[in-house]
Amino acid sequence: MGDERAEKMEDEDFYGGCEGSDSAYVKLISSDGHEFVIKREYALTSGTIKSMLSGPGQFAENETNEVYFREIPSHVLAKVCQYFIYKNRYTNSSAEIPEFEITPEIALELLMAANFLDC
Amino acid sequence: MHFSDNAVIFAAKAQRSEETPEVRDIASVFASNSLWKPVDETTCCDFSLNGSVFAWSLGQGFVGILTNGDDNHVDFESPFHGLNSCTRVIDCGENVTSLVFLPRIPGSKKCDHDALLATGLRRGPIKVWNALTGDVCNILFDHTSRVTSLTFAPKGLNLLVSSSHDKTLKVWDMADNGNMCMTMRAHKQSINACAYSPTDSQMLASVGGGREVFLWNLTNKRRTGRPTQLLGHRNDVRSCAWSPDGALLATGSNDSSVIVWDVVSKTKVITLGHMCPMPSSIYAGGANGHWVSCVAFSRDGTKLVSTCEDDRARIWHLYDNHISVDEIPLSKVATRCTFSPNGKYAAIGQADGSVKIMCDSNVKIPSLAHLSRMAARKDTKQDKLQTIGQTLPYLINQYLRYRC
Repeated sequence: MGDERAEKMEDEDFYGGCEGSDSAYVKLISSDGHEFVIKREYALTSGTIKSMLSGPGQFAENETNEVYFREIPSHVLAKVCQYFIYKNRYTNSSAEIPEFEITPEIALELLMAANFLDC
Repeated sequence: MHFSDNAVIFAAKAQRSEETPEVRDIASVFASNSLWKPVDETTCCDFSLNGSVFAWSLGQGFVGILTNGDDNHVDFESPFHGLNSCTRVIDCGENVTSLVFLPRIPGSKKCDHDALLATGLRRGPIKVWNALTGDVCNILFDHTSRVTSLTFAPKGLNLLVSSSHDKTLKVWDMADNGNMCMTMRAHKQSINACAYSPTDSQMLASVGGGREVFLWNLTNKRRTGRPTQLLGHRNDVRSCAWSPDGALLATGSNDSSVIVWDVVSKTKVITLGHMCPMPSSIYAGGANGHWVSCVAFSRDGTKLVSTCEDDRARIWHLYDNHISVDEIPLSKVATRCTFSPNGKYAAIGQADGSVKIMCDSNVKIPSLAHLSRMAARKDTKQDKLQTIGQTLPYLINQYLRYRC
């Protein structure tokens, strides 16, 4: 596995993968099967995801760096990922902060997801 | 953070937040004139809706305008050197007792720009200006006493509502060249402030002397039902402000407290006390040295600024783990306060025509739960809240109603 990776580095831009405990990316899977690959540090904005991925004990999530959300549909999980990036981009930044748009149709589901994810 | 039904948070006992905010001053232009003393004036200040223009009353009927010259948010970086630093000075002719920026009015030629400023004057007229050029757009003449507050309807209804010491509220139709549509009478004493709900174009709050806090339901611009009264204050109520999702109303009063009300259930959510312990009824109803003159919510709904007679302005951060308070001392008695649209600045007008600007360079991003709550409440009518509540788990329902 290590050799293949070393070869890839010379050939193309290397983005890192989801394998291993220090991977740069993690995969969040919604209830309807959409997989969202997002940088680990952004996903750690959520307290729940943080404890799932780095808590003590051998969680399956710890091994594969995938978290499956059985109750969060993809249109909500996409918005959650957008919030992670919004928060990381504009925290401690002096740039003009734009408003985070939430359409009224998803507001309640997003509230429940945010409550579960503690973010 | 749990808001129990009669929770009172005292300023003296609340946690201080970690950083002290930076303070900038806009000095009074009349300070060097020893003969001038501010009498019967209110130093009001307001930011335009996109934040690019800042207006405040200098005293003697003058209004100073500050802008960067472009559409960017006004910043207070350059030091203020008196009248020359103002982009423009508008002479209103009489002492200015309230001012507010209005949204554009598309139909009218003179009013279709972003710097429409309405100023309420001491004897009753309301003059509407183009803040950037200094031209008068309209003069609205009907009140018989000082105009204490101005507010405009949301959602493009083009209505301006003014409250006055003559115990009436008047509704003006700005799209119809400022014609007066309706006079609302219910207050028994002078009205100190009024505010339109930012999301519900039929709901208007007005507060005044005699502990009165009224919620009006306007069926249209010519008719209104009888107002409902919110009981709880123990002295004259000086100011009211809505949270940006229209779910909470904060009222500041001479009884040293700011009460935040849940508008749907008409109950108190939390009380912010400026005097610890809470004054007993005798002091609450009279002089206690801690009269609260003004309250305002920030545009993201997480902060509340209040100005108090004990020469302090306080910014309350409502949704951290505990309510925390930033205090700044003021040199003169403060009359009005407001937040800028980008949340970075809080402007506090002081009685001699000077303004203190509190700068918060690290604006915190609210949590996703709070942002979703605001988005859900903005869109939900009061009657639907009940049906929605039945489908949600208990704790989320309480969170949605600002109960925890």
